Amino acid sequence: MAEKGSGFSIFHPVIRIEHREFYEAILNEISSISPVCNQARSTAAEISKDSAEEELIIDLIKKVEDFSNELLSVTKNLFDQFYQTKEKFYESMLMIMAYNKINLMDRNLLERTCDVRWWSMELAFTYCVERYNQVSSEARDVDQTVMGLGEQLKDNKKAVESIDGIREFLKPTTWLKDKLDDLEHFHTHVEEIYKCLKEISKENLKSKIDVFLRDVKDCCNAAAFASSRLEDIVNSYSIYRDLIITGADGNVIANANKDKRSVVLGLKVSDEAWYESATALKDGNQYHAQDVSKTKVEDKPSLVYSTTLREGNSPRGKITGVMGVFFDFQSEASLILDEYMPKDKNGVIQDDCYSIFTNEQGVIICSSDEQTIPSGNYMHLPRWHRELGPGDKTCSYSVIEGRESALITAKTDGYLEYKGLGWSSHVIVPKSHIFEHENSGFELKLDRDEMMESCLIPEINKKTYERIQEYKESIQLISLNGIVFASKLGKRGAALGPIFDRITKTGDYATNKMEELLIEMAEDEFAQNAEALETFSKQAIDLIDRNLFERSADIRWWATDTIFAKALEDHAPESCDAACERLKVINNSYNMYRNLVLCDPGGQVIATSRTESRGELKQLDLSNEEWFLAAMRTNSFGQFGVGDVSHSALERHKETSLIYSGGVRKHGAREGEAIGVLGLLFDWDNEARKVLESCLQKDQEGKRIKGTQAFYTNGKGKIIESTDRDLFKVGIDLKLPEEHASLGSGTSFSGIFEYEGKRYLMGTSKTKGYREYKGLGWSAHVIRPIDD
Amino acid sequence: MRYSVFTAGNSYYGIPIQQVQEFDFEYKLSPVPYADERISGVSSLRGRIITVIDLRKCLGIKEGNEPRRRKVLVLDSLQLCKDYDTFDERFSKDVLGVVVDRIEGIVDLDFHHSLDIERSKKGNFIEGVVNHEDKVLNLLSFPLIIQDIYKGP
Repeated sequence: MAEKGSGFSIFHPVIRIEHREFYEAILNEISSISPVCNQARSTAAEISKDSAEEELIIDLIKKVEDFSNELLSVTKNLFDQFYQTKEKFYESMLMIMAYNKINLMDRNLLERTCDVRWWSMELAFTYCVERYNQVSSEARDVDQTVMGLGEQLKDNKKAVESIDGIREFLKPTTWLKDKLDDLEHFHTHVEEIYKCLKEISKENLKSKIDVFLRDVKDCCNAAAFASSRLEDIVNSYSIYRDLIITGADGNVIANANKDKRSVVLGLKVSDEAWYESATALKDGNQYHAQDVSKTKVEDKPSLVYSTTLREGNSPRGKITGVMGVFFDFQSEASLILDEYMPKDKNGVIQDDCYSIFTNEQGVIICSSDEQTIPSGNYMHLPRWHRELGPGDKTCSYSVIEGRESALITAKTDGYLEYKGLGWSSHVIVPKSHIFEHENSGFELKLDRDEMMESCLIPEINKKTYERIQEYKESIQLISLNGIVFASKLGKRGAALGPIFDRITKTGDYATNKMEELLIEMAEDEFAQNAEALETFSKQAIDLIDRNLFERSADIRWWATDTIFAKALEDHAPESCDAACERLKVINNSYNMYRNLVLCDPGGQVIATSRTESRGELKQLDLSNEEWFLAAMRTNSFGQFGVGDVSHSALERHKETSLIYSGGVRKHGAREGEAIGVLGLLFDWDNEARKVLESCLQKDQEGKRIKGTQAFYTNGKGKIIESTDRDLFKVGIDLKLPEEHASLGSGTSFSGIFEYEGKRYLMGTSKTKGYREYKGLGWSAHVIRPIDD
Repeated sequence: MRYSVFTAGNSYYGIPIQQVQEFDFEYKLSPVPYADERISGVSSLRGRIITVIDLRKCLGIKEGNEPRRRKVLVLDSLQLCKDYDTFDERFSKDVLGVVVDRIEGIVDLDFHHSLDIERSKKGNFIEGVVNHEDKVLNLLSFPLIIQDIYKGP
């Protein structure tokens, strides 16, 4: 109970009132045996003819007393077992939940690190940064010359004013933001100065200003184009609040968020931690993740990924600028915190339940209840919760917001090459919740014995069940023998009859009650396992939805690349080679794709990231494939196509492929008819199987439970991937129980599933999509066998 | 009259309580070589040899699952000799046990007030059939069974 290893106390507050009554009833019954036995002893003395007869009766009575004492201790153990198993089970479920949350976050953040590194290579950005650096050095040059003149002309009031005007304009904040509206003003000032200058100085200044004016226009256009590309990204990936590009001097040149642009452009961010850390990176392939903190760019605390832009786009080139990616951490984190929590009937997290992320210092960075446990404060945690190693989980009990609660902490261990920022996930649930008798509406179509024999039931409970039945039979036999014996005594034995009747009744009552309790425990065990399987299936569908959301964002953004548009427009070999090169570079950063292909409107491949198979792919006619047709139908950049998991001519040797597709438009435009299709061959079977395997049910030591399997079905009930391709063959139509097959979007169900002569407990969750990704009507199923 | 009621397969059987000496869990038995197949084996009960027969086999019952632990009904041979004149006197010195599936308990049957009694000679060993609380009880005659076993085939 509260302290590990302490014994059972029926007075412990978590023990349910029904159980206390239950226990008292058994106790009363069994203690009533004692006076009955005493009465039997005196009766025996009265009626026996000789000592042998008396001994026989007393021997029987003694046996009854022994059994009833044992029954009592078994009852105590039974309750103890009941509550401890339940507590352990919940602890392990909550730990998995806490860990899953931080893992979901890490998986998301890993995608962000791919994004930031890849985007920084976008030509529009490197070009704009180079233009900016050039112009700003020219501006500095002009500024210095003008400043020198200021000394010379300090007596001429008008000239001083003009010099100030010119210097004001030379600040990047001015010329970047005002988009050169002020140019006329600038010219007036310049003319004013020219008037005061000798021919030589005038020519000198004039040549500098002319160069500056020539380049500033170019630079502003490049910056505007960069901003519009950044906007495209943010529109494709809705999980960013802003993207920022700065020059080598730390001034912001371009950003994605239109509303903030007037404030952000020209802002000097060179003293911010994310910027400084980025400039300290050794090469262009590295990135820096800045933990949630205040920045000048946003009002809210921001989570910033930053990387450098390099000269000539080469990883070792000179740093020309910095890209900062402002992830919408709060909205993503609150989505995750909200998941898997106990909800009331309106779908709101129940009172006194909290889910929280803290950073490495133990400061709350996001909370499911910002009013009660707000961000920015230190979280009150026991020391060992603060000293966890990567991937560790722990649970303890303490009073939180006035309620005795279970506090679970799980620390990040990163995901793949992303190491995480040392964050922890915490889940708080009132202790009473653990022991509440949840009437989850879970109904078993199994009878008692079937249920008790299931391998879901812990061995110890099965043994207790057997023992209780043995006690029941033993007591029954003793009383029967007593009655037989009494009847042989004839009239003398009449007094013994009622005593043994009473013993039989008491024994039956107590053992029946205990059987009931064991059955209740078994039902709980089933219900808990069903709930666990539901949770795992939900995790499986969520993980794949989030992954596919990223894929749908990728396709939308990549399809706007002008290199692809050019190859489709002119079909020139060098344009196609350039497109191949581009696809190759993308595929290297994003290795969850098996292949990327660019097709012309006739369904012929003109470029691929797998250049070695270019010739072979060229022969194919893909014009009838679902993904191709879907992409050709798109007419705006927000749309994408996807075919259900099926066979594709693109992968002759693979049973199944999952292909995302986007329409490429003229000059990479956002609207208009598609002039070709970009197809992404997602490495579906491997990625899906990895996710499924991570969602299999594990025991308390973290070992995979024997016989547990997981699989995905598509909207038509066809298996599209499974953890055991022999047992659950990909492509077969599965006859799912009605409740599992007819689930609504975002809902879960658990029940019994019979397959190939074996019975399983199965949890199913149907996709609800993720953000603007609507899902494809798939379901995830996680099963474990009921029988050995 | 008080009867002890027990089961084998899906049917209920009863004998007068006087004919029972005691009830017990099934013993570990030693098989008897070349004995009738209805004899399960012998064991020792408080220093005396007890011969145990199997009710399922005696009545040719195959249906229903056997419970995990079956029960033994030890017969009161003296009483059997008293109740049945035809029962061979030499059995009165033997201890005889019968393995049954379950022991249901002891019931009071009042034949005079019941019209359910039906003395149809069903098989050789059943003396009658009685309705008791929606159950059909077969009243058994163990002397007939035992003599049938020892008569030999």
